[in-house]
Amino acid sequence: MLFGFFILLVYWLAGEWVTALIGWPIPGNVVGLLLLWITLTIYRQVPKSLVDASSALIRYLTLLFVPAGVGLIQHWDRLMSNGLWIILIIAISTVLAALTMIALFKLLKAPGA
Amino acid sequence: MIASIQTLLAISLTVGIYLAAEQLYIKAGRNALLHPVIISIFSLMGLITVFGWGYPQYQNDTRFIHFLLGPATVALAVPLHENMALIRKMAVPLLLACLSGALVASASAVMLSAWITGDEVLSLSMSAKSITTPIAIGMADSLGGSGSLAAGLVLLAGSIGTLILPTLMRLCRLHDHALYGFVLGVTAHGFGTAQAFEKSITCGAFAGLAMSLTGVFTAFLVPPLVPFWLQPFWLLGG
Repeated sequence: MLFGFFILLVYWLAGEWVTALIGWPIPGNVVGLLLLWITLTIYRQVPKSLVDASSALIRYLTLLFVPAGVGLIQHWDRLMSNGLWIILIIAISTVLAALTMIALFKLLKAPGA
Repeated sequence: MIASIQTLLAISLTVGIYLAAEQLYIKAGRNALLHPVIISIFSLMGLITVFGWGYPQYQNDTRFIHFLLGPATVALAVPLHENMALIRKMAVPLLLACLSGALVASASAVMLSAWITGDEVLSLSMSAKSITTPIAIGMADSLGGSGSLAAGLVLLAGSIGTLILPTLMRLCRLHDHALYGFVLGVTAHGFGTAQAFEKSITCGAFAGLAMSLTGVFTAFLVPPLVPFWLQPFWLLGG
């Protein structure tokens, strides 16, 4: 499991290096995710320690973003003044995205659409 | 002493409240509005106000928990790799739908927000509202938005999505479990995935795959496009 955690740290580090190098505003951990995904696609086998480390972290993923979520307190005025608009915008945008996908499925005759 | 009492108190409170919120969520029949993250965030906001800590202090004390988001995001590559086998039969429609769904979800939210609210930080953070929180926080921060605000918007998008999407899919007669789950994963990330798993394993697996793909697509493609979406509204120095 520690070896798996080490792999995750090294890929994160590599991801941060790549983003610093190309100066594209992508989080380094997402680049790390992509690099690891490519590696797994090539090797086809996932080491057991990596499976253990990832499932332990993913199992408590929601706990990990609680500290950032509490930071919403700094945006309280913004939420109070635009709250209803924010809810409406999110609802409209969600419906538009879902309709786009459903239309594409029907258009491309995806099996099951 | 390797950590101050204040730091230990902040970390213990965060983990303890999360565990209690998880129990409440299970007892309440897994209602999305009582999601442990939502309950934990609002309880902790109340507590740090009562204790007079201020967010910068709390943020500094809990940075060890926040740090683990880094390896946890990289770890999403493992389920993504395992689920990719699912889409072999219909890779083209699924990848195209994911790409367009992700772009519409992001662009429409950014433009509507810029038009209606005129708030630049809010509009930039809106670009990440449909993707899984660990990726959204990093993306909003590197775009000049706010990771915390994005986390809040993601939670809202998840709750709103799980409330309205089932009705929308019934109206559009989309009943196939794989496609249904895929739409839920693209538009309502983890919340949608949890709802999809209640329908069936297939539905949930497709939702999980869609969630990871949408996170990766959005984080790579949206940042260079956002300035163009904001330009008509005179934000970002227009």
